[in-house]
Amino acid sequence: MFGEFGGRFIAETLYEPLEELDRAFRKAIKTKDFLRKLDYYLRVYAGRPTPLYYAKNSSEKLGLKLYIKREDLLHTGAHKINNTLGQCLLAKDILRKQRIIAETGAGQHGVATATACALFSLKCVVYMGKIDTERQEINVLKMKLLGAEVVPVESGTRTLKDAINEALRDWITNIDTTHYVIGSVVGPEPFPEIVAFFQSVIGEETIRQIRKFEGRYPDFVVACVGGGSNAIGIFRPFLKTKVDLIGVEAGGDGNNHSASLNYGKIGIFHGSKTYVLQDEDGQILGTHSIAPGLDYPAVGPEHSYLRSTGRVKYVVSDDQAALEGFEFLSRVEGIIPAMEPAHAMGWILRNAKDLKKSTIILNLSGRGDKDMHIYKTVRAK
Amino acid sequence: MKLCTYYTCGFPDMESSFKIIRAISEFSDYIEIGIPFSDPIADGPTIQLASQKSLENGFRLKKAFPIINELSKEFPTKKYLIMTYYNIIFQRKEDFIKKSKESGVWGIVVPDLPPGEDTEFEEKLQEKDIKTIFFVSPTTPKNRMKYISRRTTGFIYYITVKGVTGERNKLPEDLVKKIQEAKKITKKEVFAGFGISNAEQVKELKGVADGVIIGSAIIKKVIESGSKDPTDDIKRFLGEIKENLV
Repeated sequence: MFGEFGGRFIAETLYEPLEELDRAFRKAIKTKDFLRKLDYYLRVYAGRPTPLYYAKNSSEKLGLKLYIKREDLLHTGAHKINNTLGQCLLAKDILRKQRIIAETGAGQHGVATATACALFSLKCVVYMGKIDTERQEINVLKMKLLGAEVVPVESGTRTLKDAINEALRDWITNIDTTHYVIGSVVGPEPFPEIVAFFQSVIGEETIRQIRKFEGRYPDFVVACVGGGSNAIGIFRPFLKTKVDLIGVEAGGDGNNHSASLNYGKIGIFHGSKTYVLQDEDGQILGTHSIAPGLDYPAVGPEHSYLRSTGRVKYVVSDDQAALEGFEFLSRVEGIIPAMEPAHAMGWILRNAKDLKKSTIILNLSGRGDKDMHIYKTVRAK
Repeated sequence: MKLCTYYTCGFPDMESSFKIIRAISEFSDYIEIGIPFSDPIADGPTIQLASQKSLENGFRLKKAFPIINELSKEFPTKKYLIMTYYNIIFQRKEDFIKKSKESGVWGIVVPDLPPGEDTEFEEKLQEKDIKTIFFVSPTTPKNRMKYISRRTTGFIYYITVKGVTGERNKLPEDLVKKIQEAKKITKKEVFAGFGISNAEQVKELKGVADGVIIGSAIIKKVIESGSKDPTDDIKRFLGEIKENLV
C-alpha cells in the first residue's frame, strides 16, 4: 500500500497468484544471479546506462540549466524495456512460466514485451484495443515480426483500458501457465511495486550522473505521467531529497483529457485505489491525449499517494503545449521526443520565466518516431 | 438445492429488464441484480455485452433501487442481492448501503472486493444486516478459505472454473471433489457459479452444492430472442433447471 492508495481489488481467483508473484519478486531481488543477469541485459542488450545530456542550446535560450535523461536511446526507443526485461526474466527464472501476456495502448509496451519474449524464448500474447491496432499499424507489425500474437480488443472503448481488462481476463483463465507483464505502475499489488523497482534504474543513474556534472542535486526533476512508470522510475531515488519533483499530466484538447490526478476522483480501478476519471455514478470515462501513452483514465497508486503528501507536484500540459515541446526539442537540440515527454518539455517552456537559473532534469522517456503520423495530421490542419 | 439467478439491470432497457427479473424471480430463491459497470473485469463476453448495452441505453444507479424495492415487496420470500463492481459502491458507500437496505436488499456481491480489503465497508453492512457474499475459487488455499468463511455472513460463492463468467457446456472434472472439500472447511452454504448453463450440470451438483448460480445463460436467451419477448423462453429454461434441483 502507498498510504491509503493501492491494494488488491481483484477477483478471488487472482488473490493467491498475486501472493505468489509477490513472494517470487521478493526472492528475485535478493537473488544475486537474477540481479546480475538483469544488469547484464540492461547494459549489453538495452543500452544502459543512458546518457544524461546537458542541453546547452536549450539552456542558453531559456536562461536555465537543462539536462535530459536520454531514455529515448534505449533499445525499442523508450523506457518500457527496463520493465519488460525485468519481468520476463522474473517469469522465466523465478516463476518458471513460459507464456507472457501484456496490454498495450500505442504499442510501445507491446513491442518492448514482444522483444524481451523473443530474447528469452517465451510465448507472447499482446492485447491491444481495436482502435489502437488501427492507429498503430506499424507497432502491430513489429510485434508480429518479433513473434508475438496480437489480439485486437473489441469491448468497451476499444482502447488501452479495455486491453488491460482483457489481459486480466486472460490471466484469470490461464493463471497456471501465464505471467502478466503489466506495462505501468498500475494494477493490484505487487504490480506497482514491481514496475517501480525495475524502472528505478532511471533515477539511480540520474542521481549519480547529475552529481558528477554539478556536484549537487538539481532543483527540479520533470517527467510526464500517464500510468506513471517513467516518472516513478526517475522520482524514486529523489524522494528522500529536497528536489522539486514535477509530474506532468495530459490536458488534452480542453474538453477531453487524461489528467486523473488533477481532475479525477479517488476510486477503485484495475485492482487499485487511486485517482480515476469517472462520472457521478462511478463509471469510468473515456480519455483523450495527443500522446497515446498518456491516454489512460487512472494513474499508479504511488502517484496518488505522492500527490496526497504533496511531495510531488502534478501539473497539466495540453496538446498544444506538448506540440511546442515536440517542435522545440527537435529544432533546438536535434532530438525528436515522443509526444509523452513532449508534455513535460511543454511545461518547462511555458514556465521558463519562473524557472530562470534553475537546474532542471527532464526525463525523456521515449523517442518520437512513433508519433510522426500524429504530427503529420496536426500539421495538415 | 437452491437456485440463484443473475440478471443485468437495464438490459436491454429498464422496462424489459424489470419484466425479465420479475419472471426469473418466480423460479429463484435468490436473485442477483447486476448494476452494470463500464469495466467488468470478472465477466465474460455475455455479461460484458449486457453491461455495455445497459449503460449505452441510459442506465443510472438511481433507477435501480426502485426496481429492487418493487420486486422485493412483490416477492417477500425471495432474497434479492446486488452484484456490482466496487467503484460503484465506493463512490457513495453510506448512501449505497442505506438505499440498499430501504429497497429490501438481502446481500451484496462484489467480484473485485476480496474479504478484508475494506473492513470498514464490511462492518457497515453488518450494522445494517446486509449479508456479505464472498468468493472462493479453485486457486484459493485452505487457510484462506477459512478466513473467507469467517468473513462471509451470507453464502460462499464457489467459482467453478479459473476464468470469467459465461456459459460453458461442461463442468471441470474435479469440481464435485473440490466443493466437497470446501464444505468440510466451512459451515456456510456453498453456491456454485460461473459456467453453469444447463440441467445436466445442475444434476451433477445436486447433493454437493447448497445452490447453483445461473447468469450468463439467461442473458444469452435474451440476446438470442432478438426483438421477441424472451420471458417465455426464460421461464421454460428455468422450469427445466428447477425440476433438476430436487
